[in-house]
Amino acid sequence: MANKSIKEQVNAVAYKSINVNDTEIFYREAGAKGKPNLLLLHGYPSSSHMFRNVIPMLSEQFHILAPDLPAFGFSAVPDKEEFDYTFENFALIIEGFLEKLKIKKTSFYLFDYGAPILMHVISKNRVEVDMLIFQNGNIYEEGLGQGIRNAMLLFNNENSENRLKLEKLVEFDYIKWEYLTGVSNFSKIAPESYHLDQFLMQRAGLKEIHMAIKKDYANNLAFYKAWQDKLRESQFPTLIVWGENDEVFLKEGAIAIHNELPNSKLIFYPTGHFALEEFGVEIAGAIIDYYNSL
Amino acid sequence: MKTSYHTRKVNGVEIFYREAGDKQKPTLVLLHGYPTSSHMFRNLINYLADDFHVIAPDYPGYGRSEQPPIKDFDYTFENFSNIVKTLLDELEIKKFSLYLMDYGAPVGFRIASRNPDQIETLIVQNGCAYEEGLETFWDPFRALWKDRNDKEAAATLSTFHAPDGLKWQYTHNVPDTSVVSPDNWEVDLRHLERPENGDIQLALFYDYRTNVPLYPEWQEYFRTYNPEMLIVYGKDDYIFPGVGAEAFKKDVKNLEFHLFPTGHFALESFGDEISELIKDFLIRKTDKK
Repeated sequence: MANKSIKEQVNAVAYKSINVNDTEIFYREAGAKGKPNLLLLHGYPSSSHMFRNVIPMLSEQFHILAPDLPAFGFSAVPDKEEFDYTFENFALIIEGFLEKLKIKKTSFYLFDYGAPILMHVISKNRVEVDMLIFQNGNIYEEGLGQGIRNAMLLFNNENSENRLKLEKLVEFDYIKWEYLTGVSNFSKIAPESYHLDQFLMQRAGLKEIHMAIKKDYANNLAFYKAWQDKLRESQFPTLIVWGENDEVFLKEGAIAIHNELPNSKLIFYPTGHFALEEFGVEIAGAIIDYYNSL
Repeated sequence: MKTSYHTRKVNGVEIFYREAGDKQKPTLVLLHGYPTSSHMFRNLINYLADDFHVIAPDYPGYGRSEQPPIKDFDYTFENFSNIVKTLLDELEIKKFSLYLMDYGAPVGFRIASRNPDQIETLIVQNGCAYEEGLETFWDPFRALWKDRNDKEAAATLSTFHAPDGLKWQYTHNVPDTSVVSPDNWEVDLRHLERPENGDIQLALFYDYRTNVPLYPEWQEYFRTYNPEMLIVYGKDDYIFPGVGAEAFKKDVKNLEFHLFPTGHFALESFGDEISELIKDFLIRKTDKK
């Protein structure tokens, strides 16, 4: 019965942490080193936990690294006064993470917050891009949902009334909304997804930090043109897998990427923002198939 | 994904359960331990879903099930076993295998010994039915059983579901702790930190005393009905040590026996190996409906 144990050892997920720029970064690692690297980056309000089901499948093909950003998941929560909670600084953390682990070439999974962060990383040309996977990760104005547009307006005119509205974005009802909106079958969404996020959000100081990150999101828009140029000029092999009912990042954002990259492959799934919760098996399969077709 | 997540009102309490697989296939009911929930079975369920019908409920006050106020609900093993059995009856599950871990053992052995004709197989993972399986860890329990108001014993016991103690339960005597997901204790803490949950844990610690006198009945059930049993046990568990696994050999005739060099939550470090043994065992020992 134990004859498969060697394969399974290789596929086992390890839970580790590493110090990057003075911040303790937690990450999940799976798959043999030496296989092509794939960096999975989570979005708000989640962590590498969002990849828990697909990591074992993807690790058959890839060496997987899935870090948690500072103030997300099980990574450290540096003080707001000591750490710059911006997308540009998150990009520096990811660069430092890859450098420490000596990753010179990798594929990237760009989801939600991970899309702008990784586009910052990719644009610096320090790491060779093997393949890109966009999943509900947006870099086009037409992909921005009404909620993000409203939030940007409210942050621009930040008074106490608007602040109260914005604070809803770090509350449990909103967190749950992100997981459940647009899904085909509610009974397929594991409640530990949003309950774990909520549990971690309740820690002291977390809500203020996440409000600061949300405020910084608008600064990504100034880079959209440069990132779109980068995609067009580089024509990276790109798979776009997108929950088409997502109200955070609209399907128009997926179509825009596909138009920029005519050789890319675009697959819509009848689900919402956290498409992996409902279609993890299908999406992991699509990633492996696409990579093998290159 | 293969698992779906449900709730159902059972004896007036909203019970959460995970379910996967085809209802026409043999059913395996997974009974979780203290102080966790069906979350401990998340990977096993996925592994077995293609070949079996799998159900994993959360007890009241645990996981995503309702936590009724302690004044309105008897937090006892007797009551938990009634709720689980009622859930199975209402879902019209007539024959089933049971996976018994930790608290799942007293819940499940009550069900099995009272409904022997409905039991297809028993899978025991770090769950006890023999007094010699209760070693040093159980000293503060025995103190509490003697005196419900023993504050020192209660304080000692409450450390096991505080953050450090909880992490210890998952990592103690695990050869490589880097394979144990921190999701475990963080998800548990979400539920354990609910108001009044500490009192519920204490009520169940006290009620555990009602299990020990039933051990001889369960042993007699093993001898009388000869259930097919698979033991997959973390032998270095401090809570339910390997000696408790060995004890089953005295009474269980149809026994397949596997020890693993790990601790209490053996699925976290030997999940692949244990899942494979269970699949093979159930394929051989259960009937396709």
